[in-house]
Amino acid sequence: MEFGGYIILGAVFAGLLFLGAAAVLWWAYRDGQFSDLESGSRTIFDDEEEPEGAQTDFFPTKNPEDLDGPPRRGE
Amino acid sequence: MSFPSTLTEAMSPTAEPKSDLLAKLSEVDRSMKVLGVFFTVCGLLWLMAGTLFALVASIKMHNVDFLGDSEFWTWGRVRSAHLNAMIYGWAFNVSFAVAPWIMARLCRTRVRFTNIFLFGGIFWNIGVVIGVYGILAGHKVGVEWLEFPAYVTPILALAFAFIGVWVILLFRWRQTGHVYVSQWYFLAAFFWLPWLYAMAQIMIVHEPARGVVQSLTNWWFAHNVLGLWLTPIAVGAAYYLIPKVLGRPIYSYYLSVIGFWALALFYNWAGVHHLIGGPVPAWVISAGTVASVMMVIPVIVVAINHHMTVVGLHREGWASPTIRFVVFGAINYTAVSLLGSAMALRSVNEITHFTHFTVSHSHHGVYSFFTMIMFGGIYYMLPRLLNREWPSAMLISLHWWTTAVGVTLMVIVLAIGGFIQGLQLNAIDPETETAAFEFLEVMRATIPYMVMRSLTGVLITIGHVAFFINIIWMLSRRAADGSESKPTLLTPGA
Amino acid sequence: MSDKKLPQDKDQYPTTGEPRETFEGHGFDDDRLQRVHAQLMREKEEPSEGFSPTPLFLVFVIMILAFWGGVYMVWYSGEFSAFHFDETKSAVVAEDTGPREVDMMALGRRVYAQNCQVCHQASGEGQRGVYPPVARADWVQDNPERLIKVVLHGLEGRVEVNGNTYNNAMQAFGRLNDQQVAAVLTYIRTDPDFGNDSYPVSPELVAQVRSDFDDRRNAWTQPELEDIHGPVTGDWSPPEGEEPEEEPDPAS
Repeated sequence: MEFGGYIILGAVFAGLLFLGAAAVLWWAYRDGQFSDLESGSRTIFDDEEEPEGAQTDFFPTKNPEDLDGPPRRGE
Repeated sequence: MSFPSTLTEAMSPTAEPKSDLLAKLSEVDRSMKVLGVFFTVCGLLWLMAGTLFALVASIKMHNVDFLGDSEFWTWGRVRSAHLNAMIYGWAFNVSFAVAPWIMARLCRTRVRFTNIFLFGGIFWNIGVVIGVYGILAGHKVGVEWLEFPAYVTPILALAFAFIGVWVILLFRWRQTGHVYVSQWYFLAAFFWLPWLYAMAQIMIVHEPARGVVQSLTNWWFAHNVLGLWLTPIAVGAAYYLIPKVLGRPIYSYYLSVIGFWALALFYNWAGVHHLIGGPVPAWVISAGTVASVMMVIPVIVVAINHHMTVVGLHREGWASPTIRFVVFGAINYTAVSLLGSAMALRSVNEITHFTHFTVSHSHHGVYSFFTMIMFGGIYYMLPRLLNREWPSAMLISLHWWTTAVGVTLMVIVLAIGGFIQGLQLNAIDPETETAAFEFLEVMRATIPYMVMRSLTGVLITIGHVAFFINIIWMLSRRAADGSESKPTLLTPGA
Repeated sequence: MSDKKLPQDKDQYPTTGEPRETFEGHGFDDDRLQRVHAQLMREKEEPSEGFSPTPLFLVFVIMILAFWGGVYMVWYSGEFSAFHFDETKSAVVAEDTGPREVDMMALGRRVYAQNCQVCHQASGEGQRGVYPPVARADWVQDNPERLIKVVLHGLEGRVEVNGNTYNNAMQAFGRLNDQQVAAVLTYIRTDPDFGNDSYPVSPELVAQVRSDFDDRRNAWTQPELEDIHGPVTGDWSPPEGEEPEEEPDPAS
């Protein structure tokens, strides 16, 4: 491929990527992804199985009894 | 309950999130069980193979005759076999295990049609086996990070398509409204990598660009595998694991969003700094340098977030294998990135380039940062997938201490040795105005550091063996005593 | 990825207000959960706003980095040129060091190799009946203006060189700049390999001829050139009292 071909190819790809990123950012904004971040950060917790405020990982035999862990996982 | 029965139905535009499809975490875990275990075990085997190659290559640096009578084990092949086994074998497999699992949990959706995912995974590993064998047999492509022979590229590309599309489908199937920052990172990584890989393969192997454009493509790719694939995977995993294990939300979620977009904006420029001093237009190098230094922004953001989330909970963190590994990785992410920004400056790069300092830096990035976080991810994931506890706390402890100490020593030893090497290579004798040291002299001076590197490698190998035993023990446990053991982490007060 | 309707709160929290089995609502009256929440509140105060603002020091870091990045790019931009590899040297300064000495013979040799050699051959002997020679040729040792016209606009029809007749068409080389034309003519007129012993040609002369015949589009013929310069003699010298380098150049 000639040098000019690479320039055109690169420009096309860069443009597509940039537009893609802009579209995603726009979508996220329109969707309200940035509107309530503080509660968004809590979506990883699940009050039934792995609630906020409880540690969920210990060394196998060192589960401290004083920490009230989550209930046994429902089957 | 309208549970989509076919793949096309599941992907159709009418498939809307339905709250009654919102899966429990344990359901998500069950649906990922086969996949997670498959990729973890594949990654583990590659980790062991890569460690073996690494030891051989490292010993050859100071004992040149070691295994010298076998062409398969010449340094040029073993070193590339190590690199590719670790990246395409270990790092990719473990990413395919941890990232989709976290993705599925955050999307609260069961992973469906897992056979296709598994199919992609099997082909990926077949591709890597052929590729590593091809390197050892002498068919490698002479381009760093792309050494796999050209004939495995289509297999890998196809396999990745099957795997990568699943992560995007998981996102498509999500049953939650909010997109957590880890999901941003994973989605971006799974979009970026195929683009990187395809461009690099086309412009270097299949329709080679000529001259300096080829080198630019090479380092753009090689640095971006770290920056746009391994980094988002590991940072995304840390953003999930740290708050999750400690039960405390991320310190400033707002900052994490800034961090993600800053990374997306700056990191893809950074690879050019590998060509400082080369016949590359000056502005290209300058742009790469500026972008590398601008990476300080997302790095500081991540550092603040991770540190402030952990702070005050050190005792709790120490009691968790996951947190030990992940926090070690997160600290080293800050360190390696700031060091990398410094190395992108022309004046520093003139010393560190072409020395063991660069080797130190890449191990710092891929091992101290990425691999350690992935170890943490596996320690968190496997008990949940298998509903079984880790068999030995001692082995976990051993794993952590040997790898943490081993890799830290290795990074320090190589950095010191490399820096001295760089100063000696650049030194000018003021009288004759020629090089002050002969090349052979400089090389001999590095030998003590190479010996120390091999010793730290042995230490890390011990850790990997402990990890290997622990996983195999865990997997075979049920067969041994006939009953499934319950993880203590899920049965408090047991 | 869908931008269709995404799940809203009403999808996640049953609108009836009933707690659902799989949801947070279930745990709210659980005193155990209250306890852990209380523990959490001790550790981290509830934010009053929607989000915590960016720390001030981070804003400073970003500003300093952006400023540094701009300065760095300005200093080491290499003028954003594709052919500027040394960031410490400015392209502008390099050109300001004054006019460069150009080796007219070296430049002429290169221009000859790139443009003339195909027909006139490396030896300059040309090809019998088709391409006239430039080596030991009466045309070459004649008035340089005649040669400049030939190079700039081409030559066609029957041509007599050294007593032999050639019939072909030479293309115009007007795209070469004045210095290149002057260099290649100087080269063939003075290089000992070609056996011509004549005077150099200056770029100013080329420029003058180029502007004098600015509107000419078609190639010259031998009769046309003879109307202006007379028959080719192969014995030409500059007008009296003028050095060849300072050839007629009233324009400047």
